[in-house]
Amino acid sequence: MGIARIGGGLQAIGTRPAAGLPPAGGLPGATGSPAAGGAAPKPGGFVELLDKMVDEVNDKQLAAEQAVRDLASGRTESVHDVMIAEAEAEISFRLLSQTRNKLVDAYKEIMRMQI
Amino acid sequence: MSLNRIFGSFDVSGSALSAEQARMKAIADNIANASTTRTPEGGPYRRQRVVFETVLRECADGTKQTAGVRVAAVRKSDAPPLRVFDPDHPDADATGFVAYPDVSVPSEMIDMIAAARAYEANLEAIKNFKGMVNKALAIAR
Repeated sequence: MGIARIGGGLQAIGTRPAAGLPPAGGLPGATGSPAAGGAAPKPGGFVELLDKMVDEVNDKQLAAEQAVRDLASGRTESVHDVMIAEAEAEISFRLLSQTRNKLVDAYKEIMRMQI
Repeated sequence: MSLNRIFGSFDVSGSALSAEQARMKAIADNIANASTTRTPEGGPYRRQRVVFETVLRECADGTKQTAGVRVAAVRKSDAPPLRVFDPDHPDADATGFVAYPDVSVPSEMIDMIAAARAYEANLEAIKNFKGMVNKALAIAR
């Protein structure tokens, strides 16, 4: 059950289509179909949590992009708000990628186990 | 959104940066109009001052928390204008006196230094907060 969960978590990060991201700047491997993820995530489970986290990180990236757009088109005049949006996007992405790294490590650790 | 709770400190410092920017704009206005004798409302330019107030945010449990600062108002000074004897000036009155704004450029410069330093202090707060989060993320590495 633990391995299935970890695997599901990996799929939640890796094969989920990021709807909001533009195709060119998308996450690597973000074009896979959600059906490839196998079992549907259990409601309230860790996989669903990760799924929500990916969504939020994506929202942050889009918000940062929109902030740059607003600055360039003159809709806003505060450079610091744009930089804060960038920093938030960066930190939340780093948080997600650290979570993913930990999951991959745990998965590899289990796969290396002698039976 | 749950991720936003991490960035509460960013919001606080960001609001302070915006407030300081507004203060800087008021000071720039004061210096630019230091010898303006005509305004749409009549009379000389009047010195502007920004008033800051704390922002309160309602938490999920109903309690209120301070969450940064904002510009409550931009007040115009009620001080009497400086009367300078200059009979050749087009805006001189019958006695030859011209009403100049009550702006003292040296004191505006001091306010400007204060605003710039406050802006820097808030930038430093953001930088340090970012450093803290990044250090915390390095725990997992």
